[in-house]
Amino acid sequence: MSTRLLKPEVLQGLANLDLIARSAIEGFLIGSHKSVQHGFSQEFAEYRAYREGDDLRFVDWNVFARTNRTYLKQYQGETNTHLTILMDASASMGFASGKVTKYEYGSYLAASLAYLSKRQQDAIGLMIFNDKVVDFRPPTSRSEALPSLLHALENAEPGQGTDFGNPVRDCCELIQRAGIIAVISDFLDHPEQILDELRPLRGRGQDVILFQVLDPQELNLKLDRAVQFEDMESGKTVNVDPTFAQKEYSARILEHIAEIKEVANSTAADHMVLTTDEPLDVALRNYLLHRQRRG
Amino acid sequence: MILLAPLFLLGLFAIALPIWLHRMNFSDPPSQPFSSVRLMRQSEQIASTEQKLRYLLLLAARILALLILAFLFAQPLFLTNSPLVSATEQRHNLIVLDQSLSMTAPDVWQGALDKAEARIEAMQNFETAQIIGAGSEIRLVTEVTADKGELSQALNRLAPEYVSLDYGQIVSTLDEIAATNGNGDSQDAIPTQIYFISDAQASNLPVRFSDLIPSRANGLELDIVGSPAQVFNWSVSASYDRDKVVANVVSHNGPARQMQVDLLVNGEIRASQNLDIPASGSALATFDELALELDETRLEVVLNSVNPDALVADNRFYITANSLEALSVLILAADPSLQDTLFLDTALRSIAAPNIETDLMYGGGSVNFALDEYDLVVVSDIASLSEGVTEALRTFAARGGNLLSIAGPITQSAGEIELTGHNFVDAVSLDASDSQGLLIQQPLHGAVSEFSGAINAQVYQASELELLEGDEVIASTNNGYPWLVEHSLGLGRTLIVTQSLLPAATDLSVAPEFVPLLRSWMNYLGGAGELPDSFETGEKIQVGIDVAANRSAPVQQVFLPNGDPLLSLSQQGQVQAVQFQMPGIYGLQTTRGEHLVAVNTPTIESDLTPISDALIAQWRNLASVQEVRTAEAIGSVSGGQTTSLKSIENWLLPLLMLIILIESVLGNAHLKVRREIAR
Repeated sequence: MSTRLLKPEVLQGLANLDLIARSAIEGFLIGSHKSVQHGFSQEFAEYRAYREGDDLRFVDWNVFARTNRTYLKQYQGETNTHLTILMDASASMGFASGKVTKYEYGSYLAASLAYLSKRQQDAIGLMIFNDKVVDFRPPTSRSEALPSLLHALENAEPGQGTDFGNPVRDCCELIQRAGIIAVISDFLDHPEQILDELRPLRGRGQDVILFQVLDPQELNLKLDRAVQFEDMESGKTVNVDPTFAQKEYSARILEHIAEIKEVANSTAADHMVLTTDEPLDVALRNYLLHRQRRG
Repeated sequence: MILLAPLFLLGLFAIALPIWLHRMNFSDPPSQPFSSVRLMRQSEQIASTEQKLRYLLLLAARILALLILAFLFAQPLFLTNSPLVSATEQRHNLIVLDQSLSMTAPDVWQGALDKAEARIEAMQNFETAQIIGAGSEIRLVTEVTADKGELSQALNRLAPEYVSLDYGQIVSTLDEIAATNGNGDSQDAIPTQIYFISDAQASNLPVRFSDLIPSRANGLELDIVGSPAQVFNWSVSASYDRDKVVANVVSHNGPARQMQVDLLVNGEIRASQNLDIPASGSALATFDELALELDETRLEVVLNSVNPDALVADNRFYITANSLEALSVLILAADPSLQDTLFLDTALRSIAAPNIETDLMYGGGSVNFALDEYDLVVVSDIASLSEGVTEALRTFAARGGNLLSIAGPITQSAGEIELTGHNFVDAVSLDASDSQGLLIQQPLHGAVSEFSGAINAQVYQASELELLEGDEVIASTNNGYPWLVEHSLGLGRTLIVTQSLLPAATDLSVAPEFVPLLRSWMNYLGGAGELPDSFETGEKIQVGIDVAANRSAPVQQVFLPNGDPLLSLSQQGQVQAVQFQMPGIYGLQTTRGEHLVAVNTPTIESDLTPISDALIAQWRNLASVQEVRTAEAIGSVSGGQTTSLKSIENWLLPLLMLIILIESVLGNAHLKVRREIAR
């Protein structure tokens, strides 16, 4: 049951992202035989001065009455970190050789990560971008954060080109606190350009994890005759013959992935390659490890 | 350019097929979206362009191949200019008379002679000529001469023959003669014109119309004699089967008539029937319950036609009722009581056709038999023969006697065949599990004519015969050991069976295949079944020695219908083939007695239907192109040009082969991509 619910084609049949995320995470947790909430108590930890954007519900009004200052009560396991998901919604993410597009798979992953984080009382945020920022939901631990985020994911559609510069710049400006930034993209641009655009994140002390979502056909291109491929972002066309696809393309895509990994290493980011036909548990487990390392 | 068979150009429509196929494959490859072509961009365009180029070349090769093929079938001829033949230069004429049977129609031959005479008279003083007869062979009746008297006299030496012609072969031969002016010298060939005087019978047309067009002579002028369209002809043919003769009378363009058909047996009328023959139709007369005696072998069906019947020769049809003498076979055995000898004797006696009479003799002693009295000798174990018998057999074979030699147990243990000089490798006994089957290596060989592929029998003993030069392996065991070998021993035929026929060595002698196999061997060695019962006039038969096979031909002498021998004693050793020139019943002297053959006139000559006017016009037009131009030139300005037709077949064929080669290479290169993907 748990494994089945982690399969993308099964998740695709579910009604909405909320249900998808719930199913994926519950399946994952059952499968892992381990409560993620273990060690995360709801015990009082400390007071913290109110900052713009904080949820007013957590203001300790007793302290305010006594001191005329606004403090927030903080509990252990809560708001230790926040997760911001940078979701690539460029046109290339709309590619699918099977049933699930890369964007859909990325959405399932983003929703699952958000759901998981929400269960851990982390603040969650989302930035959907292509060659510009399409939607931005700042990280928040408010209860409506998750539905809002899922709604944004569902409403977005892949289109336009890819530019990491804009979302990274906005992230640096809008997200002051250090946290986890999960970038979900196919990273098919030039590795040097990606490196340049992602480097500022590391400067802000963010933990970055790059989820590189690829279609199985992008990894193992097989043709039985010449095909004219049209670039989904640039619109350029190129005729590809089967010999090249079989022999040279495989080497090129592996080399590209290696370069992206190098980019990740140089920015102290984690890098994971996911294909749209593999279950989500690998990605989720990786995320949790990352999360635990962060403490 | 002139096309001899322009209709074949319709084949050019076939070009649409490769164009259509390539269009399907060559149209821009199907476009499909892909996430990013960044990783493909640089080299794929080049690869695709190479592929396109290769594909275009392949298409071009295929179209060109079809184009050339269609043109080859259409037989294009090109008009080429050559220096004018001056009026003062010599000019040669080949005056050719059709001597086929149809020329015997009333007034036709005389008409041909008159036309030839007129042609001779019309010769200019700078012209030479030759008279040529086109009958059973192309005969140069005169040398090249300008003497009109000699030419006219030569006409008297020609007469129609009982043969049919193929105008294509005639034109081809005349073309060769024209190229050398009839004197074998092609270096100084002078312009040569062919005058073909014929009744232009449609049945004599070749398969390919282009064969009627000379390519080396300056032209061919067709002079048609007679008016065959108004000539009626009736002919008769017949067949004999089991005491019944069926005669078929055909009316060729003739009106309905009643005629009498007689059946003659040995020259005497045995039966007669009146037949109502429809106009341009046929009618059958059946003579049954003939109950022919053994010596009643010469049958003749005679049609008593009424005037006007154009051809008389086809009113008589000859048939033979042959009954060959029994094949006389001598079996020489080591021990006449041994099983293999008994099997052989019994099996040979059971053969119904040919009828075989056997004598069984002991071969290990003195020669107390006359080998020449036998058609063939069967030796059950070669090494068991005494020296005297071996020598006698060697002489027998050298003179053309036929032998079936079996390597029995004594031969196997001796390890050699003294008679033929063969040696054996040591014999090996096989058990049932590894016994060997028999495979036929020469399926067309007469000794295995009743079998195909394999002989359903097993060999339990294997010994390998070391072959000598000229040996032919007809059948072998599964492991490749020769089993039945034809060896050249003198003028006769010699078959060697390399294994014993004892049940311990093979199950063949008790297998159903044994008798049919022996029958095949007897037919082959006895020469039976090789001689047909009928021929057409003009056909030839081999006599004396078969040079190609270096052995005796089945026929030694030919007796004419009147009983006279055709070959003198001196001719019998020299003449290799005899042509049947007259209809009638001939006697052939064979190693097994006299064999009668019926020789009749060619049936296609009976149909006097002329070539259609349109075809004659086309023939004349194409064949006389050079003549017309030459004549114009002679009458005009000296120093001009004549035109001749040149075929480009010799160029197109190698070109076609080259293109097919290119197509194969390109096609393979194209398919290679698909194979790699499949892997």
